[in-house]
Amino acid sequence: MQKIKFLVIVSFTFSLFTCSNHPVLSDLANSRMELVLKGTYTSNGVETRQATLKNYKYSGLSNAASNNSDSNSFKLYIDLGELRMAKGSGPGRDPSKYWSSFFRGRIALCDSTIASDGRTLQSCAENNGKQKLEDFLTGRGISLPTNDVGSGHYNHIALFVRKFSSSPSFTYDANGNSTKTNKTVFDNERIYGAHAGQAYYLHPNDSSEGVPRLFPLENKNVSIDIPDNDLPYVLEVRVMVNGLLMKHVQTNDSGGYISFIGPANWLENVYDKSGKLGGNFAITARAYQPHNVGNFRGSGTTTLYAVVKAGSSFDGKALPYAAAKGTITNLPPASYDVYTVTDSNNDGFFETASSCATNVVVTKNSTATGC
Amino acid sequence: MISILPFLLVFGLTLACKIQECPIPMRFFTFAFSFFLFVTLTFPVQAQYQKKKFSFEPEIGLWLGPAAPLGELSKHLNTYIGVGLYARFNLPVKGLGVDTGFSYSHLDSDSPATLHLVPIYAGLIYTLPIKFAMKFHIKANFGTTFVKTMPNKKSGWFPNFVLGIGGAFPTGRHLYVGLHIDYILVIENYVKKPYPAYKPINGHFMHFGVSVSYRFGGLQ
Repeated sequence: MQKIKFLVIVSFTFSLFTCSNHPVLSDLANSRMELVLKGTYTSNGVETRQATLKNYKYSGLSNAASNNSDSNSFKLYIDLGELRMAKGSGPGRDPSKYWSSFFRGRIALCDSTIASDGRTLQSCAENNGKQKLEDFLTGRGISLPTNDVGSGHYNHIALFVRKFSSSPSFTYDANGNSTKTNKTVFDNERIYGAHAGQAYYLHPNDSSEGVPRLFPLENKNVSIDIPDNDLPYVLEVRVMVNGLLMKHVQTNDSGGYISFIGPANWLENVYDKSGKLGGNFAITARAYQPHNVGNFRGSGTTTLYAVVKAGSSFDGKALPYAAAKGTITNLPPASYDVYTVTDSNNDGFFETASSCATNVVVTKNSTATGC
Repeated sequence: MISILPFLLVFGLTLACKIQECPIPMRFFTFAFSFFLFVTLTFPVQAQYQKKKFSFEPEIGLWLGPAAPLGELSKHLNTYIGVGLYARFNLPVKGLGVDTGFSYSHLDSDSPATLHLVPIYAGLIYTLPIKFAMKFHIKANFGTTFVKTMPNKKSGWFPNFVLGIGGAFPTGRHLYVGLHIDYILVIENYVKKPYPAYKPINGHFMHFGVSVSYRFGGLQ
């Protein structure tokens, strides 16, 4: 009896020491996801920063509109709050179960770390926000610390922008003469410029059907495939800011005008007092594993090519799956439809898309050609 | 016979675990621990016949309290809740006893990451020779831990070490109410890296518990 007892105890002891040879806990500290956030239409290649503002199209604002001295040397201040993705068409009653919130923090991007009273924008200065804005707008991309999300296909992405401010911003009198340089608050300091108020972006253009807006900026038709293996992947999120900015003028209560810089009215003209800017910013996202990608090369080196997954529609009113001049890199092996895109009316957005090849098969470590 | 009951209980729980090949240091722990258990368990059995006055006084307890991540994991997980069962019995050495137990704790976060942790362990417990209404103890355990993480939906079994301090006071002939703090180390840094930049880590956790236990035999 005693011998049986000890045998049971010893065998139990051995069973205590089973151990796995794959990491489990460590996955929480090693994020497979590398988030790259870009402020460009293109998904690869380095763009030059937009130097001048796009033209505006207002009627009846001849005086104010003629004062174009602030078109150059504009500054941007962007405060990013959170990025989420989800599978489905909306959060419904239980947002916490719907969303996978993979980045939550505070990233302040700024063109200048000096406030209007000479003080320093602390958060922006300490986190190298000036360089980050440069990388964001030129398409080099900024990396943000993230948490992993579960594998699978995601179609919904949302970027929560805390502040989108720009400088300069002026208040004009009724004759269109500049009377005041406006100030706003960014990074807990006063800066010259204007915060793109929620009101503008909460009212979408008629043609944008409610999404995407800026607070949050959403897209429910993205194609993010998070691979189901242990290897790292890149999540590329693109928000077109570079090349899209223009000067907006609105009448104010005292019969004068206020000017500020915001996204171009490429979807639909913005009229005085309409206050509708929602929908003019566009976001998209995709995921790829760097060890498992191919390229697409078009015949033109300066032509802007855009690809979408084969069979999905693309009308030029959203950002494509990937786009670049000449060669599009980092494409997961699949079939793609290729378009050439152009900005026919020079408003900043590439709204004219013409199909030039369908079902182009991209394979690993090779370059497909066409167009 | 009653001394084997807690072991059978824990044994049943470990049946679900898949036996896989362990690296050499883990084998060492296996032998060290089996030897340790063999020695400690033969003593009371012999003592049962030699000393009439000695009593195992087995004790079964339940605890509930917060479970907290420490170190690297505390950046990714939030403190949440844990619940556990334990069983103890005396050894003929004054103050020394055998302690076994298992617990379940769930830790969540602001992100999709969550953790399910089930440490199963056995080891020694020592009641400090302090003359006071409360009994204070320190303990050291070894064992295995079932770990499951989200959102990657991965799970596995890893060796653990548990160090604990606590105190309990009697609220009757058999019932004890106590408080304890356990530190749990889950060893995982030996695993194969999925890719070169991957840094395997060990898990460090703290369990704070309010416990209620029933002691067979109890106060004389």
